[in-house]
Amino acid sequence: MRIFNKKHIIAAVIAISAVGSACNKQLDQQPNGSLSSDLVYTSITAAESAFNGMYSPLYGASYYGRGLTLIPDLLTENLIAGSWFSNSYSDIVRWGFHSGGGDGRGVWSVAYSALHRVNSFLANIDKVEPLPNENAETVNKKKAELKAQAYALRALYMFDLTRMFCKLDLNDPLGLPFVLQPTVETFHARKTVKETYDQIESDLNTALGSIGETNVTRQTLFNKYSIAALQSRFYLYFGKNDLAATAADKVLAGPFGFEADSAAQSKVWINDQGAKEIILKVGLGTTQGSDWSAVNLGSLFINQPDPKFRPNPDFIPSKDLVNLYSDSDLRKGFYFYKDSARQYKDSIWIVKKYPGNPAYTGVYGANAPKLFRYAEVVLNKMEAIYPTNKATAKTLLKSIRASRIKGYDVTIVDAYDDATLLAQIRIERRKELAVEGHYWFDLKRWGVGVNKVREGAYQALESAVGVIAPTDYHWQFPVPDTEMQSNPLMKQNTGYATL
Amino acid sequence: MKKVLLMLFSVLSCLQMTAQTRPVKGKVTDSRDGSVLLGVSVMVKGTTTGTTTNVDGVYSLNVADNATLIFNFVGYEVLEVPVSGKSTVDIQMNLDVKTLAEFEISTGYVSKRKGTITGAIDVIDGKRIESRPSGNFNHLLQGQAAGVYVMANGGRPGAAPQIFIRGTGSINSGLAPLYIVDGQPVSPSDFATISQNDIESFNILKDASATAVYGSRGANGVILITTKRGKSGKATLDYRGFYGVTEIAEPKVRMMNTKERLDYEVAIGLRQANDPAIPELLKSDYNQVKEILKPALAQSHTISVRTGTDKTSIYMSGEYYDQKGVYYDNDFSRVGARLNVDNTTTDWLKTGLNMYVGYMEEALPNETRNSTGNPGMMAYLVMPYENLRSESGNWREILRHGGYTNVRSNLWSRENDFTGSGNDHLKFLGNVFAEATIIPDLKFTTRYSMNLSDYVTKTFNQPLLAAADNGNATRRFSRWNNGTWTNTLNYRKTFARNHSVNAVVGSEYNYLTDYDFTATARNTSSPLLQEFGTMLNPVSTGGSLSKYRMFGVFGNVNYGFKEKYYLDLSIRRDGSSKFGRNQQWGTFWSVGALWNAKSEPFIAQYEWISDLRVRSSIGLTGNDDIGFYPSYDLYGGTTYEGRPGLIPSQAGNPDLTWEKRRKFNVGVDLGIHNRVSVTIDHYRELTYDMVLDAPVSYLTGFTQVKGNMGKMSNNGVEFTVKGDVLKNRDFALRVEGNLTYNKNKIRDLYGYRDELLGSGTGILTKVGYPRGQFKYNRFSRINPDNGLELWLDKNGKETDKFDDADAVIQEGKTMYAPWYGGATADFSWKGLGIFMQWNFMEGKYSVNNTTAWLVWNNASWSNYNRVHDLGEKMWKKPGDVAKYPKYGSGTQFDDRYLEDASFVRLRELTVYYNVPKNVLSKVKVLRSVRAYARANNLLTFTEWTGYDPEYFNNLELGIYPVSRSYTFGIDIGF
Repeated sequence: MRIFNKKHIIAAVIAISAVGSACNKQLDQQPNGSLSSDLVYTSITAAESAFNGMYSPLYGASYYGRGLTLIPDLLTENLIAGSWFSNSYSDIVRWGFHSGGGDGRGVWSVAYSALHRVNSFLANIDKVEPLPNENAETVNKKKAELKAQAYALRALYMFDLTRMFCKLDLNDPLGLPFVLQPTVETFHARKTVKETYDQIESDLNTALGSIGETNVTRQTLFNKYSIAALQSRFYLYFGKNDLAATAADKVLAGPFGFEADSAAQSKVWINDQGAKEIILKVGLGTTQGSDWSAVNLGSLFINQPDPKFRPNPDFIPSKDLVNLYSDSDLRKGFYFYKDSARQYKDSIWIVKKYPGNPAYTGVYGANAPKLFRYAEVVLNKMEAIYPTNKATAKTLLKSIRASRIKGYDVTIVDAYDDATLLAQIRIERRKELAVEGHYWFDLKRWGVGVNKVREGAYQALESAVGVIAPTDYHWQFPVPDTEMQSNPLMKQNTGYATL
Repeated sequence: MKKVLLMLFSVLSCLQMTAQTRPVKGKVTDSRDGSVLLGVSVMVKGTTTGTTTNVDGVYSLNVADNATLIFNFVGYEVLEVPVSGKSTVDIQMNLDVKTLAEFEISTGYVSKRKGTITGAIDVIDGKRIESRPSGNFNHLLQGQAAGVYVMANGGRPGAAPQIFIRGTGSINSGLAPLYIVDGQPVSPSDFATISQNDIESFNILKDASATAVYGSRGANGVILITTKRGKSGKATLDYRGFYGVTEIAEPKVRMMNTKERLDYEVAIGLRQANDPAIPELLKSDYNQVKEILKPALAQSHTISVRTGTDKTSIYMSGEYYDQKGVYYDNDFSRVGARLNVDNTTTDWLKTGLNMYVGYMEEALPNETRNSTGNPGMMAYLVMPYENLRSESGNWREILRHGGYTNVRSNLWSRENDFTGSGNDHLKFLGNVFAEATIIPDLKFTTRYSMNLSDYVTKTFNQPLLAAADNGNATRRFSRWNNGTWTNTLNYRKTFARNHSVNAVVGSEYNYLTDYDFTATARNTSSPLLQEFGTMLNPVSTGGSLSKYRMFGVFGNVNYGFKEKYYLDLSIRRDGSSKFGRNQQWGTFWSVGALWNAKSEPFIAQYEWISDLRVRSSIGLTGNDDIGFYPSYDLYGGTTYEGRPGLIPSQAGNPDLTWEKRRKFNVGVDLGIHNRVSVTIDHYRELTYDMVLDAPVSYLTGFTQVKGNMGKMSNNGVEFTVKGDVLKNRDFALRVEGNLTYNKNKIRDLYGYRDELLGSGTGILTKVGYPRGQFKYNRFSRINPDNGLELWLDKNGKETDKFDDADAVIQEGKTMYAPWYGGATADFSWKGLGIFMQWNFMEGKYSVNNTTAWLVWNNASWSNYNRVHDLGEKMWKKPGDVAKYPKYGSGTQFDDRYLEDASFVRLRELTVYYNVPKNVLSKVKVLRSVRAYARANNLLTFTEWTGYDPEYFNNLELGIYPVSRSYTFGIDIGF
């Protein structure tokens, strides 16, 4: 046996350690099917993708795509469930939503994951540097534009959560839990409603202060008008009437108005188009994707792709609602039609506000959700100005009725006393914004309860919930169980069972 | 071994002939099985005269009448036999248990003498899995070793079983042990592509002392598989082959026959009592289980060659294996070839390679579990009066009765190739190695291994079945490229007689790249063409790429003092790409100790104690089997207004790190009279820092984030006994048995929450309970007044309302059996023998969802055949004390369907015959012939009512059952 010298031993040891040094950097492996977060904010183009990701929750099926647009009307006298309804939204129909239910959780989870996206975006966007072939000034301008919208989106998502889960009372301690930076911490206590309000207000001011003329003609991204529209709604909800009116004025000064002819109005509801009527709508793709199928709210109201057959709706408008519209009211024709449902032989009213946009072929009953419309801002202003300026309120009421109702006699409005005027403003709001996700929130802030009686055999028994007092705990949705279980600091809303 | 041979050769050359001698000859055989022993040294006592036995075990010598012969063979007791004037001295040699302790056992990176090992290691002989009809031989390990839990994942040939060692070691991460074949890691599914007849042995490493050197991959135990190697000396060629049939065991549950079915249909108003069709229907009465699940053929042929010179030895083999499934249109076949070479290249360098190439092809049946179309479910649900075959004897296209009315039989579709799916799998497994002796006692070994898989999945539908597409086809290709480079330095020396050292240090680099792509196309040019070239329209494509890199350095030293006390230390440091940047590296260790009590004089005096060793070890191992990129903050795709968007898709955790398993073991090995060996181990294992999906506040943007948290313990006892009960010239009876009890308990989960979310149907994962604990609503009885079901609410009061909140923990019922084991008995008389293996699992429960499908009694289900006594025992009128509710009742799940799936089964019964040598010797070319008849799963004792109790899941629904088989085989040695 040959005896080896030390060189051989050294060689062997080196061989072993060489492998080691070569391998250490191999341990950093990047996934190939998705992008590691530190690679997202490496260019303005990639950052814009993250920016689009902040908007995409808007069309979610549990957000404006379906749930958040439907639920506020389904809870009220506006909509009833047919006796044949397919049990969808049954907790809402019965006013039986609980902390384990999916409807509130849908809104909660979409809004909070959207808020996380906004927070991540705001925390990282300043890291983006211009690439060698990019103009630094252009990139910086773009960053500022995107940031302004991010603030607006944060305000929107927080406001949606607040109106659904909190009392609209600035003295109430149970506001939202929220953070302004991306967090991995799972323990979060609720802040007060006032703190929540202050944050939304601040974000809106930041957004409005920096948005400039960005997107001023675009309806699918926040611009100075849609931010102001959100501001007017936000202030109105909290009874800040002066601020609501001021914000509304910023919109009313814009290029908006009521479409005079019915062809233009029908484009609003069928084609989701109308430069004057629509301030902000959800942007959907031009080819079929998951966004189309998320916004098929119409399928719950008509549910019959083939016009040869009668509709098969889950939910139908109450007589109470339809009877508010006179026959000369153009809206009656755009919002409803009479048919006999497949499951019910006598004719009933059917909601036609979401008839399906023919551009979205292949998906039945899909329309782009319209988040802010000119008419709402007019109504916001009307309501906000009412306590201090009845004359302007009447002018605005006349303007909307004159454009919606053929041959409307505006002197009727002139004759209203103060109480009637207020009642009529509210009725007008209900009529104009029916089935657009407003009425339950309006009742909540007005402190008016619900009374749903059974109006006929075609109505599901459980949807006749009777009187729901304005003090009922259900006016605040429950914090989902999943949040309660993973966040021990979380406080449940009054009335709901705690696990 | 070679040294022994060398010595023998030198002895041979010294052979002296003396005058006053006479010839004596004889044959040396193994007392256990009568097999001949080749190369046994036969010496004349007090002289240097001697010889060795030849390949037939025969020796001949010239000796004096009063001479005494000494028979010596490594691993066997030394025998001294006086010749006493006889001319023939035949000898049976017994295994020497004491010298067995001298055997080398591979512990992975290094071999150790058995008597020095401080860890808990079981060895299973490759003979135990040879020539059995199983597409994936791992399933055959069931019941073979204590602590090893083996459970089928269904009965499709080739399906990889679920194996775990010493309890379920994890909640979210992998449970599978690390498999190492000839030094290279392989994945459990690879075994479907490997020939079982090439396996020499399985070494099962269980405790910390045995597994810590595998560091981050050792937590679930390690199974080392060694393939056969060449031998220098006379070349041998072996043929092993069998033919067999597999069939389904008749399930306990019996469905209605035609008479029962028609009575039921009349009773529930589905048919008028005077329906004129009844007499015609009564003419047909099929047991559809027998009609649909047909016995299927299996065959296997292997040829292997062992050969070698003093420099080079070679093992090579080729295999063909084919097994049809009991499900229609299921075929599994495999061809493979192996070449193992060892070469003494220079006086200081040995080199070698192991190479295996296998090609597996399978046609997959319809296995869709929750479907009325899969053969197993169809066999239950088709009407007994449905003739599934047309007049020509082929499957009928359109069925005519019940829920299958006007449904196209997929038996027909498959028979005519209108639809199908399948896989083919090309496997290359190979490694090259070199071992250099640097100085005496110091060896450097380097080994580079590759594990390559190409996997193709195919489906097609002819236009008849995919009219809208005008025919379609899908192909998925995936390639798995796993390589390992291992370098070790091994130092082994005994100093001053009293101090022995066996030490190894090394490094290991492991890479894995896995990618795949899929494509779907439609619109075929002709219904008979299924390839993409003939499809006019592409439909969709997809694909992914994943990578994993791991690097480790390790060391192990085994120190012995006076062959009495041994200390074994291991340490390993591993880095893995899977973990967070802050936590990529982990350190694992173990300390083991052994006391060889037999070496103590106060024990040595007891002659009946032939071996007594006490072992103990403690250490830390890790588990990184949690997917490729669990620690990253990831973004996935979305769109807004048709523009691309990015959204967070996974919450990152830069601190995510190894799941750890702390192991403690204490064990005793006892040998009695060199005939019986007993091993008892007690282990306490604690898994902690488990990688769990912790539910988090929505404020994080996610519902769950991976984190290291929670604790789970597995404590248990293992008992193994092996013994020669009877051993004489003609009779031999060897019995082996093992028993394991494992107690699993979840000790902690998230800290702030003690119940796991999303544990699966009926399963509760909660602190204080074992993993796999069932929680279900309690069924009480059928209300005699109205025929509706009554349950017990959570307070034990009867209620007619089914409420999930009334579910209670079913104490003592878990999906994992806490008790399991196996026993074998091998009895032989001369060449004829009988071998049995019994396995059992006790305390295993499962939800029999299939049964629920068979007993539900309402309009949605009455169109399918029902269990035989439903019509008779359902509630019909007030006052009936019924087994089943009235017709029209609901379909709630409750503890009625939670069945005891424990079983005792005769896993194997083999009757074999070794043709005697004296017969063979007339046919010169034959070395050995063994013929056998074998039945697997012949008997199964169980409370389970379905086809087969063996299935690794909390819920059984339409699963492909494990089958029973009968084979006839022959092994011929040339």
